[in-house]
Amino acid sequence: MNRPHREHPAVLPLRLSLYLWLFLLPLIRGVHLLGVPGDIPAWLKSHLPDRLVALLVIVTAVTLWWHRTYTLSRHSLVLRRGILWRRTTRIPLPLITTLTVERPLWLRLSGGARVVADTDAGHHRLADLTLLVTRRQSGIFLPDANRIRFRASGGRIFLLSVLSSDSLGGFLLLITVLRHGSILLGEGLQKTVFDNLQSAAEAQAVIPKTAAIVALALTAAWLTGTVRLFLRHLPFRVCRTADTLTVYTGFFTRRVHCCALGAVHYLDRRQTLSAYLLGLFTGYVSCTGYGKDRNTRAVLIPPCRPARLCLEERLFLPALAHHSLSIHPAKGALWRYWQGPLCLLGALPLGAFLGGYLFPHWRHLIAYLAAMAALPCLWLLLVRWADRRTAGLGCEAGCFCLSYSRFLTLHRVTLPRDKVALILTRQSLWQKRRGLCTIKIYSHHEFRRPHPVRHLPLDEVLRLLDRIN
Amino acid sequence: MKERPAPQILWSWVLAVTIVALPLTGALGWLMTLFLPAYLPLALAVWGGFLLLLTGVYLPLRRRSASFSLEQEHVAVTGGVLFTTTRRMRMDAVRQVTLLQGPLERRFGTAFLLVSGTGGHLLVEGIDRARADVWCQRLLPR
Repeated sequence: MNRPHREHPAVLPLRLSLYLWLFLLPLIRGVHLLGVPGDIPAWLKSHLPDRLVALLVIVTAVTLWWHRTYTLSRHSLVLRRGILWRRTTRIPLPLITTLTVERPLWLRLSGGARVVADTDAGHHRLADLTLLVTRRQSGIFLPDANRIRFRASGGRIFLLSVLSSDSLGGFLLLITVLRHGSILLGEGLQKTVFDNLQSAAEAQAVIPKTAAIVALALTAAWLTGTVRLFLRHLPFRVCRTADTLTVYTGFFTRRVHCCALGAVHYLDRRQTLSAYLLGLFTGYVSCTGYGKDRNTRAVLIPPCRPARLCLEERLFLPALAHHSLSIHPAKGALWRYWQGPLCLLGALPLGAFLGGYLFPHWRHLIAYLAAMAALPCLWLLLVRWADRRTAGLGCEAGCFCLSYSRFLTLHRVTLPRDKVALILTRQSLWQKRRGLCTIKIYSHHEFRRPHPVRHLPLDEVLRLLDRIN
Repeated sequence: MKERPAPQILWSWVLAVTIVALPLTGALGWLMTLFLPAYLPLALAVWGGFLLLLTGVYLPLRRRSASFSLEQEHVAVTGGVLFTTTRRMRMDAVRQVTLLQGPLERRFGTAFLLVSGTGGHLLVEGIDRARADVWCQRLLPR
């Protein structure tokens, strides 16, 4: 298919939304002249400029769509766009790291698909190229249909959703649903929800009412986040060929992510504290473009026990299998791991006392909130304890193996040496006295991401680095 | 080998500044007539002096200090009037190339070339259109 193609016409309403602000001026004028409710047909008949603005918006969107073409050759993908400012972007196909084909429900009904291509260059939050193509053409972007080699059970996807639920995302979704629901069904819906929330908070007498409302809202947000994540990943299937790793996900919005195996930066086995206590690992793959969308997780292996994890990672990414760690944090370093959360725990009673002194009416609420704020600190304390037990560094078979924690998650990373951008060792005054250091290994990415392992013996780290160089 | 922006880029920049400056001059004159009519000649003289400095001194200096080169191993772009900066990117780090042409660039036969690679990007300003195609071929030979 060497000839240029236009995008699917379903893209027009999306493009049109970019120019909707142009309707603002005629709208304000109409409201100002006629009042609300006004005689809209009379206004449309009498004001020619307003009609011209509306026509201009539609013509602009159609012209932009007409001038936006893509060409897929055997070697590269070329996108041409723009009327006054013409831009031509060329991406060689072997340099595409992840190619995603998405089919949301509304696009499936209109026979379209969204193709998102990403390379190691460009913005770390935005895809390099997004196209809306017909369903038939989307098939050309994907590799030949492969036999599915691995299908995760619903139970494992449910575990994944529970362990990595996004409460903030769920909260935003709930607010949006409530707002739009109120517009469609009337203000009564919003009032009923708030009344129910209030009565549920009043039904118990253990915690203050405000705190109960906050707790209920957070629980609802967490549950919404869990359900949404579950539906995003439900039929989770993975297929590996010689040079690509294809992940199929999505219940309503079907997604196919094709990752180039050569472009995989590292394999990360993550554990939250609850997963650590249950002995479960989740395998995430770092390949530019996969998991870039805020609501998508770059999952490769849903939660499972270590034995199964080993089996599945040898099946998908045998070169990135985990090896033993040869260097561990020094004895007595636990205090250093606990320092941050302990400082926070110490500051909380002081803050609560001061708050109670300044706002005596809210003393009970402040005390309750301080007690609640201590919970995440205790959680962090436990995470750091687990980090101290598991942290370490090793290098075998051309790969660095690192185990460390970042905020509330434990990471166990296998990073090929050729994907390392920079190695940094750093000593604080305290570490210098004890002969310890913190090593940060940066991997190649659109942005350099550090993998820090803290409080390792400096001489052992230097010996390891000398050996591999 | 070092290349410099095409000579016609200077005219393109001057024309762009003129297009932007005309409505601004009109707006300035209108506002000064409304609020401070006594200072109108002074304001226009300062504004005109600034535009002259921009088009007569800054833009020629900017073109003079700009250069770019496409070597076997890397691509480098140098620019800046007060502080000269050289950005260099390894050829194997290049991932995509975007060619940009506005109406003025099309009229003067020049183009902008945005070279995106791992860890950053380079903007080659005022490259000749024909040379831009050669650069595209060499940067992404596949």
